[in-house]
Amino acid sequence: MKRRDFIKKTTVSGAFLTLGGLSLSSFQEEKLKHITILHTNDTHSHFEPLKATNHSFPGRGGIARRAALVDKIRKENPNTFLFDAGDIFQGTPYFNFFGGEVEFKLMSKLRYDASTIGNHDFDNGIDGLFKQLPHAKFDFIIANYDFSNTVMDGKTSPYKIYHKAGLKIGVFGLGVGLEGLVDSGNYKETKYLDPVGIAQDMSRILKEEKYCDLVICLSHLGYYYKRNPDKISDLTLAKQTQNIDLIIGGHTHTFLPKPTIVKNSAGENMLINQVGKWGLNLGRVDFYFDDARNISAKGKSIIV
Amino acid sequence: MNANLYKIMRYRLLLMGIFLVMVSCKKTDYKVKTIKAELIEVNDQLPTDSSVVKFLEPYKIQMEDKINKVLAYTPINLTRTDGNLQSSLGNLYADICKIQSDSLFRKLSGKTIDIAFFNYGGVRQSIPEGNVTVSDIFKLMPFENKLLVVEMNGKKIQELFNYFEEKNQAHPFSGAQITFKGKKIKSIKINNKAFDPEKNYYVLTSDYLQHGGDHMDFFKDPVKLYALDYKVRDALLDYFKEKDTVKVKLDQRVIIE
Repeated sequence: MKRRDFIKKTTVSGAFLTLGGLSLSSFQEEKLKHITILHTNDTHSHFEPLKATNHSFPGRGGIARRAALVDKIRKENPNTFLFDAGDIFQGTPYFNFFGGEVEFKLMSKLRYDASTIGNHDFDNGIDGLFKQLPHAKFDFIIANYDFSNTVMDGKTSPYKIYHKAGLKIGVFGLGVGLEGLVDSGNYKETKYLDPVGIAQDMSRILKEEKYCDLVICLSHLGYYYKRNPDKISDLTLAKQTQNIDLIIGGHTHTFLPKPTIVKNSAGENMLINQVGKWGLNLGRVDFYFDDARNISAKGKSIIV
Repeated sequence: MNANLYKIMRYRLLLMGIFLVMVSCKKTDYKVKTIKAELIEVNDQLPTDSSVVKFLEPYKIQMEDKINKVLAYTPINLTRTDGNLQSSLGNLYADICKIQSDSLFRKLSGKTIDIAFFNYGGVRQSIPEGNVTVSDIFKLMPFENKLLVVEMNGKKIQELFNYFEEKNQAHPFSGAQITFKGKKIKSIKINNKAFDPEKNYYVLTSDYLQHGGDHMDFFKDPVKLYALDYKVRDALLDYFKEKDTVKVKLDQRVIIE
């Protein structure tokens, strides 16, 4: 092996010397594939920046700034995704007066790729959510809500596979338990399914059957419940599953200064991220891919 | 090394090089090598996308027009903290919900509401003296909670008053009169009649509280539930629209001896 490595190195440098124009470094950069994931959660109908007099976050947020920021990043890397982890609705009178139309239209304008569904997205009832769907030009991804006896039947997907940079990016979604959180008259016959079992199924399908290079979970389960640690949350889910590279979380309005690195059930490192609420932050995670044969036994390096 | 041999070696290396380049550039399995993450604060240091501002403009104008609409006038500050186990704003809140729901419930069941009972925490913001706008009502009640009537037996009603006594907080209510001796309830009247623990009563509250919010467990497993499909906020808005000047004061619903 060592001898072959030596030959490979010498021959490549030989080629470099001979061919001139093809430099080693540009060749390697070309080979590293780069996917950028941008994300929000719990934007709660906030479009305008908070007032300068706001007690907690003066002047922060604003969807027009988010739009410019996303644009800039897309120009730097066209292989960029924009996701949301639910609770798009409720929080300002824009929702109360326009019912979610402005939220969906603006997210479409920002070219969101997909969102999962949060509990507050049922605030005008499942019919209120359904009514706004024509304004959304992005996917709704949720695997553990069974909508078959509701108007939402067929309007969401358990998972989606996106193709970018010659890679397959598998995305699935998880919603929070609705009972006790959302009025039953609002979610009607939506059935909530066990997120752990569903996540195990989804990640297996995406990784082992569909050969996705990256598996992302959009979750509205909540980051972690300190007072109720047995309650399913992103942190507990991550430990009980494998093949998920990144959980983009929501619901608990958790401000993570950097993604949490968690060991999954196979002992591999994965990431959970959540960026607070109201579009005060934009989360960014960059994945660089290399030819599997070039990855050392130590595996990936995570710089957070 | 002679020049000819060097040329051949060099040629061979070149061929091998090209071969290896082709092999390693072939599409193959890709794996994550490096992950970088960053939290980007959205603040005034960032540029704005003017097309987004422009898109939002007509909605903003319409929204502000609606939200700034004056509904009524209050000659006093309405707050939840100006009384002892009651408050001007809490009394108004509970009274309005009861008044506005009464005919709906009568139509639905042929019965009348005995008591309205809500939570202190649900009275979210004071209304300052002066014009009352739609915005004030949204701040007072930002949630989408709906009103419902809970038919409860006397035992559960007793639990409700025990809760009120135990929490010692100005939970808004209407339709009852509670007399305290110190911190303990001495007597209860409902609709001006002594509370009868053998009787069922109809209690107006919100779906949030009936479903266990603020641990109002007495609302669980009721005799019967009547959903009014009427939001608390809409009840408040509808009432204020009809009023010119809001008249409310602390009254005898709580008597402390």
